Amino acid sequence: MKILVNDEAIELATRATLSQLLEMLEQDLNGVAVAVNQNIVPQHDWRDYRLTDQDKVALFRAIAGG
Amino acid sequence: MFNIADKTFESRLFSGTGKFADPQLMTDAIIASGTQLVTMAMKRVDLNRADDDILSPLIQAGVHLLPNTSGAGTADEAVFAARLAREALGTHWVKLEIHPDPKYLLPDPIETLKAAQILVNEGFVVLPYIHADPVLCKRLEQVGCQAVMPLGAPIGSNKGLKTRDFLEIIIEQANVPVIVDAGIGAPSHAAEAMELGADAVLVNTAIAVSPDPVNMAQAFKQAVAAGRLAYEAGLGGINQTAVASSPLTAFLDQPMTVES
Repeated sequence: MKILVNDEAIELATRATLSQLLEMLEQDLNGVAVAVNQNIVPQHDWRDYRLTDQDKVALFRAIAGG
Repeated sequence: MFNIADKTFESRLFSGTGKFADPQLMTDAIIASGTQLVTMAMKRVDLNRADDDILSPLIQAGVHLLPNTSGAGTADEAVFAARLAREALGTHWVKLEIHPDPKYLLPDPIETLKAAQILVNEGFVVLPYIHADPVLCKRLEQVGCQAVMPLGAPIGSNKGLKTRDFLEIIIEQANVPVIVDAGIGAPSHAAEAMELGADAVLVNTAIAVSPDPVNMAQAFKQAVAAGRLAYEAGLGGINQTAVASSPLTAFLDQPMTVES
């Protein structure tokens, strides 16, 4: 199946979980929040959250700011 | 010492984490400033580029984090950003800022009030960044904001307290802490805000862009402490004419005879 992560198309095994996707992306997950189709998915749900075809995943990170 | 919501602060200087040349300098300046609360922003991750890790040094420094909603142009966007920040940083504190215009970055009062209401209802400790508008401050206080953050001048402008007269009204009327934010470009500006009776100031640009941020952070620390001490001690009144400090007048009225 194909999903979009921050506007980039990514091929993923069917029924992959959000945790699996994040592992694959090799991102530092410190200070990160994730939304799927504009809904925020709490960190404790990442392991069980199954993605579906055409999902739009957005990754956000806390960065320097005033 | 003063409180905002459930937290007690010894330092009345809050700092931002933006615009520093590198994370080490940021950490050193933050430690030198003595601040206990620093702001952060949220942004979409660029999958092809690693961001500097500034979170670990901040946590190690033991400061509280205050995520902002910078980048939001509407109440809905700000609420979304606040919820993201709560997930990312595990804090329900938020500096609510909504500025649709990138030139002056002035906050939108209507969207801010709307978002504040929603976020307070969701259990957030909301610190709204706003224009120095005393009426708006009262409205934000009424919906449950735990502090207000009126501006001195546009963000990053270093112009000082251009809104001074209105800050005075806000401070006089507020039942929540007043944190003067934005425009503070020199330690003297910070001292001025504290002398007026502000509970705290937030300084970012003036420290971060100084050629020597660590010493500048220390200068701000001292200015904030001095300003607060002066406020607590009580400033003398202002007079239109001179008021002699030495009892010389009578003596000078006497005809003088000098014998050698």
